[in-house]
Amino acid sequence: MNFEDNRIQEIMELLMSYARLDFDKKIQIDTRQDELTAISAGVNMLGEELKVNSISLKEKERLLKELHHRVKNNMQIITSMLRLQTINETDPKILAFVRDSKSRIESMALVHEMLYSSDGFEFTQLSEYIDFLQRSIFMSYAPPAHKINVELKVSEKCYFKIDNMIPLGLIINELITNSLKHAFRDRVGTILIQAEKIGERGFVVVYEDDGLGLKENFKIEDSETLGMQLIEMLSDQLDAKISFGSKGTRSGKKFGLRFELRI
Amino acid sequence: MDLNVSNCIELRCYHTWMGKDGIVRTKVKPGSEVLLEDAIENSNCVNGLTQDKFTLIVDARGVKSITKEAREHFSVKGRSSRCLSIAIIVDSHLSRMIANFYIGLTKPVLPVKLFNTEANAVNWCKTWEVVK
Repeated sequence: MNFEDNRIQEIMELLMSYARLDFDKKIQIDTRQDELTAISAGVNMLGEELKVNSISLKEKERLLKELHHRVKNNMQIITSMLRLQTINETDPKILAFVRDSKSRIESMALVHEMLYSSDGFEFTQLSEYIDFLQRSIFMSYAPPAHKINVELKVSEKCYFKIDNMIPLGLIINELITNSLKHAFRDRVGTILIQAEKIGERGFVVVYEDDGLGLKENFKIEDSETLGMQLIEMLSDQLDAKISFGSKGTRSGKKFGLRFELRI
Repeated sequence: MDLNVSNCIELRCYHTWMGKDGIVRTKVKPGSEVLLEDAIENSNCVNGLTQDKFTLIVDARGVKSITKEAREHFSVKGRSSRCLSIAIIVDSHLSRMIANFYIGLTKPVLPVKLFNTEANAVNWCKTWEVVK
């Protein structure tokens, strides 16, 4: 092998093209039957294989985004149908039931919406998600002329796949709606949501409000409300340890969630 | 492989014929750059040589390149063929590289093996007589 052979330069340039995901270039195979000719042919064929795989990967990404889009649209149709069915409804129990169901569906639809709107299609950033989610919940639940603030202290290192994001989103949805429904009778208060990553796979999420607080000796397992039952069930789904209390840094309720992502 | 046979069919990139031993042979013309249409022409020709199941020897010595589409066609995926196995004769680094890509990445659905000589390829093909 002669290292001054310009085929070596050509092979290196071709590999750089592959690194730029340009698989169309090829090296001319000449009549020499030496090792470099074989390597050149091998690199050419590798480019052909990579091109097909890259097209197939792009197509899969496109289909996955399309799928998330459709799931989100279908969920939107369901919430629209729920809303339409209550147009002439006056029973406050039914109206509350529909509004809660709508909110839960929207919290799941938001994950799908964020997945198809972002460049990546696998992970959702928690801080961005909670920000969108709380705005959407406030539009449905916040009392008129309220002075309820939301403070978010969510680490940007908190990213989740859809399997974890949906239960986590639903839990946060339940907590915010619970606060807006029950905690702030005087329409004034603060909700604080904190999350951070602990080590390789661990996460801690803390939710607090400075509202009325929980009943004395509150135990989530004894709770009969659907919202609390959902929180318990979804925490199990995340293999998370949960804690509830009424004496956080503020006087209202405090909820803690600690979990590790499964490998 | 001896091309001095009366029943040889000339294709753009291949000489193809039925051997007296019942093994189909196809030899790449020197410097051939095999495209999909050459692969289709070759497989149609090979499959038309007999109505029975057969084994095939491909003499790949002298090949210059085979496109991905042609390699895929030769993998026999998604099409019927009476071919039982393929013995490929290689000599140079280039023909070995192309054949290894064909076996390793294209993954033909038939048993395929590389040989340095026609004699060894014939011996291997004869082991498939039982399957016929």
